Amino acid sequence: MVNLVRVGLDAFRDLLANEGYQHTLGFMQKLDPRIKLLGLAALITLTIFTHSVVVEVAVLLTCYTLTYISKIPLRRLFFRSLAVTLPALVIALPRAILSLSPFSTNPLSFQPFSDDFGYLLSFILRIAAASTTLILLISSTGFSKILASLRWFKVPNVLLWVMAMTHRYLILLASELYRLTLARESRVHKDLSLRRVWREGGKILGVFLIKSVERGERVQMAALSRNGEANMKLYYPTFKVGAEELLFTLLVAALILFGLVISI
Amino acid sequence: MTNKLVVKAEDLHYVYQDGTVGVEYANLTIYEGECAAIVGPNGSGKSTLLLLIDGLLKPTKGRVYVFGELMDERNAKKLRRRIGLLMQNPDDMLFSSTVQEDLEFGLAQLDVPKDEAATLVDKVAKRLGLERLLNKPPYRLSEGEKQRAALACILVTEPDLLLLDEPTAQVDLNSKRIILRILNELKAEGKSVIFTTHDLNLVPYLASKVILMNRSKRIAAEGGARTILKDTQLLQACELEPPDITRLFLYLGFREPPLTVEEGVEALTKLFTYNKLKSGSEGFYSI
Repeated sequence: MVNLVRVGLDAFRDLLANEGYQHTLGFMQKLDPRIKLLGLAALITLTIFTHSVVVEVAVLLTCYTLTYISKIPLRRLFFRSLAVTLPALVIALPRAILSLSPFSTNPLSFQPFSDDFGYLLSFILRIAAASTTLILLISSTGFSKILASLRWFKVPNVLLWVMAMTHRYLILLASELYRLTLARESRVHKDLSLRRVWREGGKILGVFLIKSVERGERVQMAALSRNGEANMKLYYPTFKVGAEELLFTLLVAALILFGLVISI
Repeated sequence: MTNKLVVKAEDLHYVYQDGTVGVEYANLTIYEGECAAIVGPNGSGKSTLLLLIDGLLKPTKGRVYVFGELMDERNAKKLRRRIGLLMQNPDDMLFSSTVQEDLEFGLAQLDVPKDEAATLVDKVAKRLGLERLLNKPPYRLSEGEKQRAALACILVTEPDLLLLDEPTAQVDLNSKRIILRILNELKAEGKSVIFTTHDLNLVPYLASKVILMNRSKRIAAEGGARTILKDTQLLQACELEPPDITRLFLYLGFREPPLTVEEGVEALTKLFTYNKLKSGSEGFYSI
């Protein structure tokens, strides 16, 4: 169980605490986070609504090009997006199998260009394009900058605080869960039956829940002691818009135009 | 230290919702510029006492006055502007995405203009050696760095009263030195400091006053650090022991044992010099 929690925790940290390439001086890292957020959100929206394989491939290629010029390893982007795309493929695969026709002259009855197969391909590419875009955003932008941009876009403060706290404490609580399982595992000296593992797991989750609530109470106290209220005040960060932002905006606008033309 | 009262607790009593007693009828007074250590074993109510002083817990019985005003729901917000509370676990204090944002948090709540806030953040970061950590998320910091960042969060608003819950627990030697230096500087600046600890070796370096708490959540004694820290019987009754150096000198039969290593060195030097003069020997010392 410890290994499972450790692997989960490492993957989780790697995904959330994604600072490795956020301070590299690449194209995407230099961009104003507001423009970046808006542009990448537009690309995700484009892939969702156009339902076109060509558009999805175009967005994917754009993301990989932007990743390359941002000095972020392409492998990293690919494998992270694969972590999202693969489960989607497993979920959508029955659709392709259902397209096998018993009356076909083809002995395997496989019609690679049937509507269902086309839908499957489009669906998977859509998921891949959207997740790649999102991963590009978090790989090149600090979470605090994303929050700052959302704040600039007038997203309610309470929601931003919930996001900030969730991001911060998910990692912390995950570490706590790991320590809990480690402590329990260190005192277990024989192989447990599956039933016992489930029972022990339930107990750990119960303790974990109580600890999470207690931590929540302490954090609230810490915020109160620093005069924090429900409507916490925050400073707006300083932003800049220059040639790179203009170039990025033009690229996104061109893709949107291309997408609209293709889909119409 | 002046004769102006900063904290006055009268029969302060707190019972948690599950019926556990947090603090039992505590009476204490802290004057302006005073540095007081609340010492006691784990679970003796030290942290609860600090939370009561900061108004984060409402006393079941009794009252606490801070800066001459009653700490209650009505006054809490106003009074907390002048108080800085460092919680025991720095992870509870650092809840923003970056250290910089955590430092700015308290200032933003006090409506400090952004430019002024930036200056204050830079100043306190430099003071605590946090300049290179400002853009880091708190979970990337070591325990010592976290504790320094948490301390910076409260120092940035320049409070008059500091409530520090185990400020040097779980930190490395370097961070401990920095924290001790800062606390001594704050003392010299005339700030009032109340800190909790169960490490009595630390107390003589900071505190002029000691408030001793026992397992029954009561204040067992309150007085000067020198008087309380050498009272072995009183400390043992509260499951504590005098500082290591004091214990050594008490074993050696000293009536006025030193409280710090520096005082110990001084006492030994005096003794050696005296014996050297007495014996007339160049290379032999005897106690």
